[in-house]
Amino acid sequence: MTAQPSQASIEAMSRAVYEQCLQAPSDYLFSVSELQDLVPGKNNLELTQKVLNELLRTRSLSALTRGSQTVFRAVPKDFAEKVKNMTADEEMLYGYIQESAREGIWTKQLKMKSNMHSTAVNKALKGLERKKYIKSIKSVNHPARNIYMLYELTPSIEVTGGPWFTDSELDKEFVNELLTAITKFMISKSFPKLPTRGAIGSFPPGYTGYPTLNQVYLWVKSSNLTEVDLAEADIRSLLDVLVYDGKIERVVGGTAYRAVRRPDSVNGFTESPCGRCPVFNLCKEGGPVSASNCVYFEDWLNA
Amino acid sequence: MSQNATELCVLLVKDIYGEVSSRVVSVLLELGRLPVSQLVRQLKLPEKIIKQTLAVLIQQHLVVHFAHLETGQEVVYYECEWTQVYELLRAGRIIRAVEERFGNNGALIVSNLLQLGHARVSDFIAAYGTSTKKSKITVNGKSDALTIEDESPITSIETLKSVMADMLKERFLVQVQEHHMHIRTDTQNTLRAQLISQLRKSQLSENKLGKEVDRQMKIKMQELADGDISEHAGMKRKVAPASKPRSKKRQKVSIYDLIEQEEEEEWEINENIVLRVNHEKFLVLFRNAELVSLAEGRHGKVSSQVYAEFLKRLEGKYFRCRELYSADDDEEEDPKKRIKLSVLELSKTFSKDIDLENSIVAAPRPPKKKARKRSYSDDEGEDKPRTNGYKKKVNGKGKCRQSDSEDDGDDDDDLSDLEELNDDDDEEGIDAENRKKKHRMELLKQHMQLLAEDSWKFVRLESNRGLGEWSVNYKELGKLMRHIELEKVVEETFGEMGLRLLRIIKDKGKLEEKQVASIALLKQKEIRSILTGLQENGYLHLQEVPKTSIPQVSRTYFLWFHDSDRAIQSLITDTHKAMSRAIQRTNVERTKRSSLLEKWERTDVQANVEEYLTTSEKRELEIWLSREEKLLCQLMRLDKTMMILRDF
Repeated sequence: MTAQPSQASIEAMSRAVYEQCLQAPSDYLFSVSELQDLVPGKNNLELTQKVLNELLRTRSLSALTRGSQTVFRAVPKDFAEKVKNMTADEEMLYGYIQESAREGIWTKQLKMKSNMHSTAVNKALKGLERKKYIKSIKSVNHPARNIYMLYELTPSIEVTGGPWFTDSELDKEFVNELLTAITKFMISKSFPKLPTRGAIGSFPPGYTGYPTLNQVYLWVKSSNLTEVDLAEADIRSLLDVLVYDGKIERVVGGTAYRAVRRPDSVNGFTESPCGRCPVFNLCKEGGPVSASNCVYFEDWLNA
Repeated sequence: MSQNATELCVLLVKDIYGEVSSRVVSVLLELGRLPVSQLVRQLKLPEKIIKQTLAVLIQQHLVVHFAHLETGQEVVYYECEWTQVYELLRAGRIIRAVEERFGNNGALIVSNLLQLGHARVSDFIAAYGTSTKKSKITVNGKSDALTIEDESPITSIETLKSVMADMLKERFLVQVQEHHMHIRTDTQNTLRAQLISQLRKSQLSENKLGKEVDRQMKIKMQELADGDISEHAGMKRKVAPASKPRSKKRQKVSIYDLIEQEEEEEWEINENIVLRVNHEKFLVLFRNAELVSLAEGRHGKVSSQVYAEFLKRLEGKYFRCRELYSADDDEEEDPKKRIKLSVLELSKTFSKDIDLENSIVAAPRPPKKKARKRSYSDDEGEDKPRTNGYKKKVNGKGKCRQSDSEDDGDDDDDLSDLEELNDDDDEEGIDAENRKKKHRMELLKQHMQLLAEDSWKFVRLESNRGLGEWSVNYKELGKLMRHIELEKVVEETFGEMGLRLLRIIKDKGKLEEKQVASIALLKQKEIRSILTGLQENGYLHLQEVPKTSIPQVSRTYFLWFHDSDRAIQSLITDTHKAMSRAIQRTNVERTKRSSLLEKWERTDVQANVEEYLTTSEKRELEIWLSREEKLLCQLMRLDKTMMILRDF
């Protein structure tokens, strides 16, 4: 029998094993026998046990079960560092929060999952927040909920609602401003000025120089319209809205856009007093509202 | 037909033909077809008066009739043709259109025919011959609105006849046939009965028989609707006045050839035929005008002029806006049946007054071929569309102007390029005249291409023959125009947001409120009220899809969708109502001033307005006249919307 290894040597060994484990791919799962091979001293069960215990204590490894077997995963260094500073409660919550990734997790769900008392949860969350491991965010869909996510992550679009949302409220003015600017840009690119008369002409058929999504994107980026970082997909949704507004249309097989002239929004119906009458449905001959006592007609005739 | 349409029709008849006629029409519209005995019971009026009224209405084509054998006796049923009643509104529009094409004589003929309903040519000419312009046939009080002040010298009967013949040829007038006076369903039923008894002999199975009858019915009804479409229908040879109008057999292919044939014999109108105004054909005219104005708003004046000329050429081949019997699908499926016209043909008759130059600007980036020929690729790099907007903005406005002037230069280059291209085509070298012609043709083609490229698809390319053959898909364009009208109304009532929501839902099919909001980049709270507003007006509809087997509001999806037909229908109803209100208001305004108007209409007062009317009366009269004008004008504008919604 060899002499009992000192605590210091076990620590040294465990560090060596941990370093070796980190070499493997991050999700690689080590079995007990594999770890045994890594421990110096050739299948010394007792030593392996001590090293493993040490590793688990320092959170360098985490134990998992695969089938009936116990397997181990190396915990990344920075994470291990963090965990060292946490209490057991905090660590558990941290795990759940980490799982929720960019969606974040609602405190109520945290309580349910962890089976902890709410004061304990709150205390742990406070602790984590203070250490800047997690942060509280606001969701667009559920503005009243307390949602937490890891400090270093940015909330997903579902949570923030994308660049159009400021403080989880749709920023109408911002959207409209961008829409108007893009419309102006599209118009300037869609109708050439004629050499004479200064009238507006058209590009020849088959013209492919209309701005594409990418060009609009680049233009918006370069134009200092906004500080918000807009992705190409965001510009696409703006352009979609403009298409729905009937201000632009897709051309060149849907790859480019051009402005179109809109027909006047007045027709026989909308300009007649009946077309905007708020009580049009009630109006009938002999009823409380009728053509003979209609005030809107009177105003319209006097106008 | 809706209640609102009934109301409108009754008002129209009342305005023009008086109280009794309007009551007859109202009963017929409310209760459907009725025999005289029933009419007497309903109206509590003497039979004689009712019969007289019916005679007038039948003469005007407002009421149609059909005799049925019932228990050995013949019973005549009467039905009101409400579409014809509605057409009364369009008299002014029709006369104006004719005046533009056929001058004063045409207007005179049409206005009289509109008043008379229908008339035999010989009678018409006789009346005209004896009384010339002074005694215009006036049916009722309508003469004011209809008769054209004809200051031109009295036209000879010959010219009148030739104008009439032209109008007949272009189907603005048609020969009155028996079935015009009959109830359409009855005509159809009799025809079907005849066909069935004929085909029974051929021992087809019941199923096949039904299909065969349907097929033949379509053809027969189409023939009835088209009437005589041979070239000399309703005409006779000048030399041999005894000859009858050509056989009514339909000549499917030959009509187009016939038109191109040189006319060898002199033809003139057959004086024995009875003519009426063909409202259907005028609608084709109005539809084209509407399309042209649409194109003008979209592509500017010049393109729309090209479009107008193009549509004018096709006009003769369209008898009506919507074919009732021949399935439109046939036409869509079979490109051969489509009516097309090539640029080459168009250019033959294209008006020389239309300036085609300076409407299309050459692309800032010339086609590749050109870039190769002239090497100014340095310049090109900057003008590339990919970086275009970006760079211009960065460099400031000065750059913008500069590149504009570059464009101008390019334009000229491109034109000369075109000519070069033409030179290549024709090696012999063509004189300036021909070159100009070719250039013009090329421009024409470009305008046609522009119209075809538009997402509204004003025209559609059929083949490349003769610089491109084009056709018009009126069915789709009709849908488009209706939708545009709907969009206008939505935009006016619900603002830009409403329009955006409607178009999103139309495009996507069925959507939840949340999805609508996220596509529209609008707040859910904001759009909710608009969506419900749109629903109240019948432009949007809601579908519930329960998530669970037991329906519960909280566990239900609510999907918004747009049903175009229903939306248009509800808009038509509203428009009918608005039109009724405009007429009613006119009547109210009139009754308010009835005593003044009676005074004013007296002949002695008319002769000396200054003396007999006081200042306040004159002022009041002015107010009335301006108000009447405003209301009538509005009515016509509403009618224009109605045409698009209902008739195109």
